[in-house]
Amino acid sequence: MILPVKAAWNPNGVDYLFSSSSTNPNDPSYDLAVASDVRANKAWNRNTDCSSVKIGIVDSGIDKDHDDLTSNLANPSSPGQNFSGVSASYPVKDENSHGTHVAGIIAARGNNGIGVAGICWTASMVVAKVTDAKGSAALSDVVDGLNYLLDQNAKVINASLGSYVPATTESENAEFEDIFSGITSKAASKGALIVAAAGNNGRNTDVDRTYPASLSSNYVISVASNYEGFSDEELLNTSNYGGGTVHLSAPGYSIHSTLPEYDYTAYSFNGNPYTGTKNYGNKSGTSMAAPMVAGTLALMWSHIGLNDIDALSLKGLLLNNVESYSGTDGVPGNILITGGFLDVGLALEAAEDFIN
Amino acid sequence: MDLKKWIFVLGPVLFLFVFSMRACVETSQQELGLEEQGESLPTTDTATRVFKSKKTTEKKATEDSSAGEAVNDSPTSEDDSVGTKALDEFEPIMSGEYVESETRMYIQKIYEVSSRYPYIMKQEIYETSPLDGAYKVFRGERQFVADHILVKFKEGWTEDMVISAMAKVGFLVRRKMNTEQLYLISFPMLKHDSWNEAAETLRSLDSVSSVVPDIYGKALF
Repeated sequence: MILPVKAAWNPNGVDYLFSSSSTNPNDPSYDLAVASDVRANKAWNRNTDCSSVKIGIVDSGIDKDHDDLTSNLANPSSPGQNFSGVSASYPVKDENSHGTHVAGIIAARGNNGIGVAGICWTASMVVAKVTDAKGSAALSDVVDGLNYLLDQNAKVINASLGSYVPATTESENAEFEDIFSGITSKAASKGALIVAAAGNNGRNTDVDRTYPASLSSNYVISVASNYEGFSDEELLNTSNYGGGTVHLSAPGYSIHSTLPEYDYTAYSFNGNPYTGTKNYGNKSGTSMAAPMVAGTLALMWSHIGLNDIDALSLKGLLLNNVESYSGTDGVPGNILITGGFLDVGLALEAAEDFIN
Repeated sequence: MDLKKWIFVLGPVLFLFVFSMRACVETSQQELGLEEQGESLPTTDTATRVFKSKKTTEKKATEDSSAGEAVNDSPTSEDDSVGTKALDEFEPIMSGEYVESETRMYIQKIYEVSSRYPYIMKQEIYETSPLDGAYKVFRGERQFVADHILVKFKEGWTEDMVISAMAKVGFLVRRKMNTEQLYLISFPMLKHDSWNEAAETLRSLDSVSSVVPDIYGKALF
C-alpha cells in the first residue's frame, strides 16, 4: 500500500502537541542533541528500540569503540567495509569525524548515563566508509558503499553525502538515473529505503542535482535542513531544496552528537585542518538532518514490526505526518515535496495508529 | 563667481563624471565574470525562496558557547563543496574550451593532485546568453576524475565481452563494480578534451547503456 503524500497542515498535530507525554533518557546532554528540536522525547514513550531494523551508514567511517556507539553496532569488532582506498588501523576508522557524528544522531546509546541519545536508543548499525580524511570521495565509491549496505540487508540506509552535479540536461539526468538503477532496483527488491542529504549548495535540486538525493526512485528520500523547526521554521540558507526532488526538512544547525574519542584532524569545508573537540561536538548541514529522518524511519519500522509494513508504505506514513510549514518564518511550503519538517513524535503516533 | 554660478557650471560635470565611473565599474565586473548569475538573465530556477536574517545563527552560536562546545563547522558554500579552493592551489596541467552544443560550452582544466585519483578535471559550464548568443551565462562547475569514466553496459554483455569491446577502441577496464553491468573505464588522457571524446566514443557503441563522469571532491554534506 502506498499512501499519498499530503502537503496540508495536519490537524492531528495540533492535538498531539498538547496531549502527548514525554520520556527523557538519563544521558546528560540528550537535549542538546535531538530531543526537543524534533520532539523525539514525545516519541520515546512509545518506542526507543530500533535493533530489529538494520541501519546502514555510508560516510567517512565510524569510531567503533566510542562509548556511546559501540553497543549499537551490528558487529562492534568489524562494523563494516572500507571503500575509500585509504587504510587505517581498522577498515572503517573515521579519520574525518563526520560519520561518527552522523551515527550518533541516528543511534547514540540512550539512557546509558553518558553523552547524548540518538533517535534510536538501541540499534544495529553497519558502516560503509567511502571518503578519505578530508571527506573526498568519487561517485563510484558511493555506489560501492550503497551496494555493500544493501547486500548487508540494511533496511534503512543513511547517505549524508553525495555528488553535486549542477546544470544537468535531461539526457544527463537519465544517464545518472541509469547508472544508479542497479542500486535503486536492489533497494526495491530488498525493500530498503535510502535517506539522502539534499546537499549544502543553497540550490534548487530540481535544476542542479545531487546524487543519490535527487534520484527519482520511490526508495530514495531527500532531506533538507532547517533550524529548530517548531520555534524557528527557517531553512538554512545553505540547504538545497526542490519542490520536485526534496521531500522534507529536519533540524541541521549546530547539532550535538558523538565525535571520535581518539585524536583526529578534521577538515573544514574550505579545506583547512582543525583539531576537533573529542567525544562530542556540534556540526551543521543537511548531513545532520538526514540521519534524524533515517533514525525516525527505523524507530517507526521497529515499532510497527519489520514484516508488518513495507518500505514504501512506511515512507508514505512518515511523509504524511510531517509538520507543515506555516509560512510565518518565510519558508514557502512549495520548495519541498511535503511542504513540511520532521516531527518524530507525530511520526511515532502515526505508527501507533497504523498498528491499531 | 558666486555660489549659484559654481553649481551651474560644476553640477553637470560632476554628474557626467559619476555616470561614466559607474558604467566603467559595471563593464569591468562583466569582463571579470563578477556579474551575479541569474540577476539580469533568465534562469531555469523556478522556485521562490525567502530567507530571513542571520538572527538565528547568532542565537544558536551563543547557546553553543554557553554549553562549552565549539561549533566545529558550518554548512558549505557551493564552491567549497566541490573542493574548488583546494584545486585552485595547483596549476592545471592541461586546459582549454570544449563546445558541446550550440548552447553549451565548457572551460576545462585538468589538475594533478596527491589523492587516490591523481588527475582531476574541473569543468566550468557556460550557456549562451539570449541577448547576444555568446557563451557567457555561467551555470556552475563540476569536478570529476579526468582519466576514467563510469559506464553501464547493456544486459547480456559479460565482463570478457566488455574487456574486448574496450580494447577495440583503445580503452581499459579499470574495475568491474559490484553493481550490475557497471564498470570504471580508463582511457588515454592526451589532451583536455580526451574525456569528452571518450564519452562520445562510448555513447556511440551498441553495448553501452549510459556514461557519466565519476564526480570527485568533497562528498560530505
